[in-house]
Amino acid sequence: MRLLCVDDEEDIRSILALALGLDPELEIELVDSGEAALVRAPAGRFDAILLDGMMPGLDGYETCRRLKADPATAAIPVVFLTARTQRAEVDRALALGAVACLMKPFDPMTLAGELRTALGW
Amino acid sequence: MSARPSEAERSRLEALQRYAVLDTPAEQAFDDIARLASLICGTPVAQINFIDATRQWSKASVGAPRGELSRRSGLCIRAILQRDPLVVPDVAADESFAARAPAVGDPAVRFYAGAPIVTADGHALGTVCVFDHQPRSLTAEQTGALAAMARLVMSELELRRLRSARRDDVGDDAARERGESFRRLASAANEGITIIIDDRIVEANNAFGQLFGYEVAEVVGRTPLDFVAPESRDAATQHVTVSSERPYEARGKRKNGTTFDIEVIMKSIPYKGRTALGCVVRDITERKEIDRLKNEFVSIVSHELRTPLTSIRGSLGLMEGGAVGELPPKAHDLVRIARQNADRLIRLINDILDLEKIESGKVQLRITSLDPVELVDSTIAELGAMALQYKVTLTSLVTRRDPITGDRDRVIQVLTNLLSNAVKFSPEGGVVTVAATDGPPGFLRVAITDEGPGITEEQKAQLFVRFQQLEQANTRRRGGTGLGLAISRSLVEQQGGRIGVDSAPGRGSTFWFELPLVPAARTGEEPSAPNADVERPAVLVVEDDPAVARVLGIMLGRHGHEVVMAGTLDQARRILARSRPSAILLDMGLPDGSGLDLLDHLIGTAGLELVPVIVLSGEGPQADHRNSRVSEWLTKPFTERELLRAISGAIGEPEPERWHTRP
Repeated sequence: MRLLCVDDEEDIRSILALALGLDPELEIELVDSGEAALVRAPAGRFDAILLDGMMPGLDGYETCRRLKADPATAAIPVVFLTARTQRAEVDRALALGAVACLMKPFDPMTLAGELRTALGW
Repeated sequence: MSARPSEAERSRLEALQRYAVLDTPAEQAFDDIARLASLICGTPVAQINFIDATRQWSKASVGAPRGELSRRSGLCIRAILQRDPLVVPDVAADESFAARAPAVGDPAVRFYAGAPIVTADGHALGTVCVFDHQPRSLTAEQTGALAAMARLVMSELELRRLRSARRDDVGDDAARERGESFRRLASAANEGITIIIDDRIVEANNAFGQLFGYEVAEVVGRTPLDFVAPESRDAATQHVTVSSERPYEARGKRKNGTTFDIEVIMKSIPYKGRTALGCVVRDITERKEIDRLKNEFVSIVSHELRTPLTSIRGSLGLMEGGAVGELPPKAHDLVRIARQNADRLIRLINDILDLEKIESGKVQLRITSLDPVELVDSTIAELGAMALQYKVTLTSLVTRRDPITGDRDRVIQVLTNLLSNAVKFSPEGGVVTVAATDGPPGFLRVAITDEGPGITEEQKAQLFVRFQQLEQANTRRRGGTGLGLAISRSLVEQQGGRIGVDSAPGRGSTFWFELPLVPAARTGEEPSAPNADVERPAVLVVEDDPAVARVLGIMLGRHGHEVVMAGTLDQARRILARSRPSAILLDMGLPDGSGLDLLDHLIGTAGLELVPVIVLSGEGPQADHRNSRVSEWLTKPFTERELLRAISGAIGEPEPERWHTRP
């Protein structure tokens, strides 16, 4: 399973790499911005995208909207991993076509399992 | 009553007699003052009350029926003991008031402020007072205005006494005095106040002129739109048309063309024998800035604190979980302690944000019909691991499936909170049971009973207050944030329920909450109220969403309103052909047309012209000529308080004969 992880915080990318790396079936690619995600997503044959909500430049919501608007990436399931977990924010993400919203801070030991549940893997 | 009044009290009662105000009919001058008190203080109820040997009697009342109470059960008796206005932010929390509050005739009275009406020789005859159904406070300006209004009532009384002594012809004088009354009162206020007739300003106070950079003389004769920035004009026009009592925000425009944030409250008022719009304007530049800073702060807390915590929690979790290799036992212990405290900090941030949001009314509740058995079972299932860890058995005795109304996620949040508290405070091997029983009529009570240490009477009062944990040491041992019960209480109350605890030291505790049951459907039935011996006919609720209709029914029922439901325009028309409701709550989007179509029907049907209509809509008013038929426009989601305020505003008009049952 190929997973594109998008987060502007370097520390969090390191933790994501370790946490998701605990699941041997997940193959992870990390990018640090929405812009980079839009470049990589069409080319990388990803099975899912894990997207931070708040990022400078293109935020997660706008990135998700563009991913869903592009026929080349529209079918890739998007899961938000966000510090903004108020119901309105979750609704906004789901309305943009995301399949789920996972909460930051997260438990790194169970994150891969939660992601699989969200994606139905 | 007490045997003999004191000398001072006798002299006060004689003074009251001299003004011959008791048991006189309602009079416009007093009604106007009460209305202004309600408008300026922003409370649903305002009264002018006098206190004689046995009673508290209302000369004027806005938002509640005019009447009398026994002197001891009224709230004003304490206000006349002092010379400054008495402000009780929360009646329920005030020892000497709490016992009286239920006798006020409205158990929901939570806020009281009263300014004594004092004669020149120092006798307090009564009060100008305001009530609200929730705790609140007044600004210094509002308190000052309340005192000014009490003085104004006193000068009205003096004028009356002089006039009756002179047996003067009062026709023109009265109007002039009243105009003078308005000017004197308005000049004392810090808010801009104007009176508008036929889209022209006919009166304005100095503050209004200053606010917008005009002389008062320049203001009179202008259209109110001259004071509104172009971008706010549409909204302002709609609010003028529907005369909404709810404050709304707009951009004001000064004489020099600059614009600023204002809050406007409009209300129809009688003025010199005509119906005019009273309008209070506040400069809210500062408040907007504070709001902006607060939102920014909440956003910072939410994001900027969570981001580093994500890294901390993530790193600790990976180390503790062995993802980077086995740690020596002592290091593992320390990492576990750090991880647990990171978790505690995260819970605290979540709870603070949650409570802030709930208490500021920003939580949108999704009210639906809920099955108590399923709610309890799924909550218990979620808490299974925790119960196992504490070696406590969780058991549901709930068998009743009578549906209750509430927001599923939020009810589960309350249940989770009460159950996890019960687990934490249970002894090892203890049993926690959940039961459902009858609450007050129309309510189901869910009770969670534990075998824990129990709670003393003194502790009970502190329990539901934020950051109150019974022992500071418990915070660490039990891992709570001290906010769970405060959040639960806010949530239950916002869903129309109550929460509480029965407990004694050594006997365990039963925490309970009550939520409204879904009432048996009465859709399309004849309203039961409209008959000769019932004073107030039913409220017609025209709403196609059954869950929303039920909640409206519960809210209205709890405040003594009979309710009849219609799910379609057709049903509503059929009900209106048989009976005349006291008010209509009208949803805009109905299966067989727009609510506006029913307004056409009301406009064109004899006998229904004056029935007040409150529109419930997901959006603000759209420009439409029929809006003028609407008494109040409530935008969903609205609170119970807003609904009741709208209803009592609509029904409690000064001409009571308008709303009586059709003969």
